[in-house]
Amino acid sequence: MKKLAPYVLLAPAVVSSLMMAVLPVVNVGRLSLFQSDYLTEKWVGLRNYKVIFSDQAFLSSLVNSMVYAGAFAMGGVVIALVLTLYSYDLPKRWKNGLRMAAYLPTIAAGIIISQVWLWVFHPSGGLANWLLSLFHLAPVRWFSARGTALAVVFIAISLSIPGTGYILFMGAASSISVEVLDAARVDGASRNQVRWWIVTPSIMWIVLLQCLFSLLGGLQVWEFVYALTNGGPARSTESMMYYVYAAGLLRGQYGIASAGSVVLLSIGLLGAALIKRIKGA
Amino acid sequence: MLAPLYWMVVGSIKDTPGLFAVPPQLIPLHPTLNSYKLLMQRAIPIWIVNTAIVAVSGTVMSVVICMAAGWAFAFYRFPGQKIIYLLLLVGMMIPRQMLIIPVFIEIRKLGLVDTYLGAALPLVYNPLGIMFAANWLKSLSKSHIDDARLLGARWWNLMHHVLLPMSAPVIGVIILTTGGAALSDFMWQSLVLQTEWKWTFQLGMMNRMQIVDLGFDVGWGRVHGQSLRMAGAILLLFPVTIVGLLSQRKFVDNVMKGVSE
Repeated sequence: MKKLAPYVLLAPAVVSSLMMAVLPVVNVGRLSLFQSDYLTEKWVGLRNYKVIFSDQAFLSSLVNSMVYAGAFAMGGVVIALVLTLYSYDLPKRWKNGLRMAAYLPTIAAGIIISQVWLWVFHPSGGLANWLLSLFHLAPVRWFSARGTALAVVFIAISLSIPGTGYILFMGAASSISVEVLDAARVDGASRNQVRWWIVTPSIMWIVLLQCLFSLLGGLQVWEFVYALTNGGPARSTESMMYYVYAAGLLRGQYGIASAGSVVLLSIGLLGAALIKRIKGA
Repeated sequence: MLAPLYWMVVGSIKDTPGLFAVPPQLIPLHPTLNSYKLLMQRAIPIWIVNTAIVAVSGTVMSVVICMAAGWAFAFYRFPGQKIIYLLLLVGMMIPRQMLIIPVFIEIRKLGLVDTYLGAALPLVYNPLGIMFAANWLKSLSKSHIDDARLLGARWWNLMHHVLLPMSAPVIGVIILTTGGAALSDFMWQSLVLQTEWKWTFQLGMMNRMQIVDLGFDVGWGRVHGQSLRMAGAILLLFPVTIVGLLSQRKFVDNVMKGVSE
């Protein structure tokens, strides 16, 4: 009996892992080869993949996902980096406050934060159009055209996510040895020169890591799209994840949705492998 | 970055004319708590209860499972150890949202659609928690446990007075990660919980927001939909924020540790 103890202890965890990770991956692969709805299944081989790659909505969701990944990179890397560079040498209390301030928006779920952005970009009462009117520009109907709708999601994402990147970068920046910084100052480097030529290269590997994380994050964008545009107008702002959601859970086309999931997962695994490579290096 | 949050707070306490005033009021001229009042009166209590049910049950199950697994890895040697470990952690590489379709099909086959259990079950698998539990318990000095055994403690006492107190940080992390996921999850819960009285907070807020684009006259003043939305969002933020703030320091430490490995 004693010998079985570890297996008994591990059983629930193993079951949960099988149910929530292993089997789903296998099933997604399997389902992608079938035409499937709620009740029936029919083998169709690779036809689902042909269907999605010739579906305009899927292709534009690929493009959109790249835009959203860019938003993740913009916010999670660029904004976070800039913030870090201008606050890494502040006194400790400021830093703690800033860290909390940066982190707060990230823990609020995308759908919550999106409520504000829905209001800000409201055609008549929103802040954005009011700002435009200050410059004598006509109000924009933000959600009625693909370009502007994409812009809304882009802005919402990039301003909501710098928190984690900021914390990472600040942590890395604080571990730069003091001697290096002192030496630079002694050599007469200006604050800006220290920022760009010493701090940035020192944390470069973490910046790169964060870049990859951001790209992966962009692949998963769903909540922002759901809350802000619902994929509209006319399915033009769907992310890949949203496309899968719409195909599978709104329209019940499980086979097609699984094919899309396989594509998504492959890209994601590729990215994860890259991350492992970089971490190891 | 904080500006949206500020705008949310401001919006939730503005009166109706102030909401859409041009130029926008950065500081509300006639603040009112009517939105909060209305929300608390109507549907919120049910939503909060539902959210608590899902979050608490999921978190408890998650803690038990992760700690049990961690215990197994820390205190036993057995064949297949490495493979099982990999099997358990394989989920860390895969973003959960992408597997939502097959998981939903599984839950449906189990007949758990529209149940609290169905809503909580996917949260239970917390590979991060398993990893932390295993590492933490391994590093716990085994001598403490042997000492306690020498003093005649049986395993129940052992659990209570030695193991659990010493594992508080890991249990904390599991609570925060699983609980946080439960509170911010929307996609899964909106799929599973279909009858309205079972909705959790985030479901209620999102799904009921659609109807409130017009003003409400509620006896003690008009409440406009937009302000309701903001108030709801702020209320939703509270538990998430608390969870997040509590986890912040631990999160940072663990992230740095993870990155440097």
